[in-house]
This record gives sequence, structure tokens and C-alpha cells, in this order.
Amino acid sequence: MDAEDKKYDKVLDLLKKSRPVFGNADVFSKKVIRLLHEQKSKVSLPELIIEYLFGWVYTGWIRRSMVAAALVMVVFFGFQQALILKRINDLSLERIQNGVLFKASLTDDLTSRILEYRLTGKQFSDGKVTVSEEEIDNLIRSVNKLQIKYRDLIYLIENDPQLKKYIESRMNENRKN
Amino acid sequence: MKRKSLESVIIMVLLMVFSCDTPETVVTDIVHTDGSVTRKIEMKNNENKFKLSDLQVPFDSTWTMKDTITIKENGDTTWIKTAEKLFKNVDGINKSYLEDKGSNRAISRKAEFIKKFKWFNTEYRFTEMIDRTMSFGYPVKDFLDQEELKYFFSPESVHSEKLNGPDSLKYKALGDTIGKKVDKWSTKNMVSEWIGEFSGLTEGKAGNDMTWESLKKHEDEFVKIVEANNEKFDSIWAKGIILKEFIGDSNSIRFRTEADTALAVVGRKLFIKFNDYSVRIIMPGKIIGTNGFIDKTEVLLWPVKSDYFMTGPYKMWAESKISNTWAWIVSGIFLLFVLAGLIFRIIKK
Repeated sequence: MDAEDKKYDKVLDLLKKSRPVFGNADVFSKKVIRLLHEQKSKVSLPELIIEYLFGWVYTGWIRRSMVAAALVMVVFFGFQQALILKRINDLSLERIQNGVLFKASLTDDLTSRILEYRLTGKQFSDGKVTVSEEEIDNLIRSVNKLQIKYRDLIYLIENDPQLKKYIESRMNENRKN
Repeated sequence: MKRKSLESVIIMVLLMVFSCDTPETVVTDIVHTDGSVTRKIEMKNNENKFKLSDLQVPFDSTWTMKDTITIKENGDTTWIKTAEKLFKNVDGINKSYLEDKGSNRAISRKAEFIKKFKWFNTEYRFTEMIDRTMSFGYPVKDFLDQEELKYFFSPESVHSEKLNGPDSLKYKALGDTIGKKVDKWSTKNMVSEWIGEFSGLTEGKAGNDMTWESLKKHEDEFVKIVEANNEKFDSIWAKGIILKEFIGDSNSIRFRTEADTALAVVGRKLFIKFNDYSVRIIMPGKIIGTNGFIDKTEVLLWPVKSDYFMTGPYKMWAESKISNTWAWIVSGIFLLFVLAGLIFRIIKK
């Protein structure tokens, strides 16, 4: 050991023995705590939320459970959709595309009502009569009046073949127009 | 289609006479997601006669009714009666079947509704079922192949469409083949049912040669005898010739009453009083399964004929599904959440 080394050790011992003396230990502690708080508050709110939301990723069993649940959900979804698609395909083989299964008189406005039901889920309601009984009575009275008024004219036409033929041809022309 | 014995001819004639007032009927069940069903019965007749005892499907004064008349250019008048009611659930429909006083009251009918929650979708199943009328018959699928079965269960409108289409000859031949096979099936059913009824009536009274098992062994012989004597069945049965051939001299004399009773029971079951009609079902959402026919309006259809439920229950079922939008959204959010969590972990590492 040379002289320089001895000198170094002496300085080191001296420094060790001369520790700083706290004037006020409480103030010092408070200052340290305050600095620590300030450091913490520098973390932004979104980061805090993300930490809170995804805290589960640090716990092994929760993380594994979540991943397993997500996988089960994906497999279940795929299986269910595949099954439904297969069933719909099988069903389409049985379909009668052009078949008319009912006579018109028995179908009425069902097609439009079914469409409405499928699209909106609206329950079926009875059809509405927009013509009042009074209006129907008036119509019948008018028809009767007209029949009486033109009875003679109809009689003349019925008994004159030429006139009848002429009127029929005119009526046909009118219909075409 | 069935065996043309004297008995059947008489019954058929009687049925025709009494069924003149029977309207052409279509029942439409509109199934709702909560299990309620709007039932609509449309009856069409050439006369304004809708006697309750002639009607195929029951309804009463609590139903909303509407009458319509259509007059064609040639003056033909058609009367259409429509009855409609909203049932809270299928129990109401089943109750109306139990209280049925119409022409089809002899048969047992019921409706069933099942709702299944399957997270992404909710599935609905609606069934209209008619119980079999015979206890010892054979299923029709033992006699017809797949194509024949499909044609057999098809509505009349499909038959006429096929018979008037480009493959009319093929379908005429198919119809004839089915007719012959159905005749054979009917005869087998009649014999099998008679054996079942007869062995039940003679149980404990007769010897081992008269048990159900031993009679069943000779069933095919009996069928051949019946088929060979198709036209004069009634007369040779009355003379006891058939019975003698089948169960022997002494047994045929001893159990004559039981044999006649069994035949009468079989006759009632085989020629059950029933008027045909059609069933339509409208399901909520997308249809995913059915054993019915689908017309171009996406309505399911089943013809209902007595042959269909003779030896097995006739089930008219349909299944549909409605997607649960909220479940799709929740599942999507969950998947994204897990994925985001995993990405977050990788970044933090």
C-alpha cells in the first residue's frame, strides 16, 4: 500500500464520520412524500383508466380465463352459424319456387301482410272498410234510378239488332281507348 | 287408394253424400315471438252453408268473423267465411281442439310451441300434431321411397302442376305406382290391425296358436287371401271362408263374434270420418327448418289427409330464428376487450 492509498482511505473515513445533520427531520420527510405524490400525479387519466381496465392481464388465471371464454365464444358462433346455414341450404332444396299453393280467393292480401309482419313484427290487424253504409245505400239508389231512367232506352236497344250491334261496337272502341 | 271392398265403397259414398257441404278450408297459424298465435280459418263454399258439424277446424262466437262473396263472370258464386282469433298460447288452441264438435272431432290434434334462447339467436319451433288412428299399422315409409314419399305428402296443387307440366307422363306413372303401393299398405295395415284387435279380444280364451305372435307369423298369408278376394271380400268373410283359412275350422266357429267385432273396429279406424283441409304456418324471423312445403310467399303449407296419420302421428313442424342484436354487440365488445388486453400486455412487456 503506497502513501496515496493511505491518504484516500483517510479521506473516506473522514467523510463517513462527518454525516449530514438533519436540521428538521419532519420537514425533510414531508418534502420527500410530496415529491413522490407529485411524481404519481404526473400519470395521465387515460393511462390510469387503461391500467384499471386491463389490470386483469397481470393476473395469470384471469387472463387465461378471459382468453378461453373469448375462444369458446368464437367457436360457438362459428358452429351455430354453420349449422344454421346448412339447415337453410337443405331447406332450399325442398322449396317450391314457382308453385302456387292456393287459389287467389283464399289468399286475399296475405302476402303484403306477411311482408309487413316479417319486416316490422307488427301483429296482424283486420282490414278497414272505408266506405260507410250510407254511401253504399246511396250507390244502390243511384244505380236503381239510372236503371229506371234508361229502361226505355235499353228496351229499344234490345229490340233493334242493328242498333244493339252499333252500340256494342262503340262500347268496344271506348274500352280500347 | 284404399281397398275397394263393399264396405269401403258404401262408406265412401256416404262420406261423399255427407261431405257436399264441407267447405274448402285453410288454417293459418301466425306464430308470434311470445308464443301467442293468431289463428285464421278461411272456409270457401259454393253455398252459404257453414254448419259447425261440417267444419274441419273448430271455432266459436268469440272469434272475429268476416263473410265475403265473390261472383264470377259466369255467375258462379263463392262464399268465403273467415274466422280469426289471437290465442295467448297454444293451450288455447289445444282447448279448442278438445271442445271440437266439427267433422274431424274423432281425431286427436294438438299444437306445441318451444322457444330456445341460444345467445346469438333465439329459435322458435311450432308443431301441429295429429295422433295416429291405428295402433298396429306399418309406417308408410316402409312402402314408399323418398321420391314417392315426397309426392305422397304433396298438396293437390303440386300434383296438378306436375301432371300438367313437361314431365306429366313421369308423374302419372309415379302417381300410379304410389296408388298401388298405398293399396298394399292399406291392406297390410288392415290385416295387422285386425290381428292386434282380435288377439286382444281373445286373450286368455284361446290357445297358443291364437296369440298375437303366432297370428303375426301368418300375416302375409292373410294379406294374400284378402288381396286375392278383394272384390268379393265381404261375401266370403260373411261365409267364414277367410277366417277358416286363417285360424282353422274350430277356432273360426268358436271366435266368430270376436273376429267380426275386430273387423268392425278396424273398419272404423281405417275409414275414419275426416274431411281434408290445409294448414299454413307463418313463423317469426327466418325459417331454418320444416317438413312442410314452402310457396313463393314464404308461407309453409301442409295438406292434411286421413292417410297421413293412419299409422303414425302426422307432425307439421317449422323452426325459425331471430338474431339477438344485443348479444352480437355484447359479444363483439367482449372479444375486442380481450384482444385489447392482450395487446396492452405485449406493449407493457
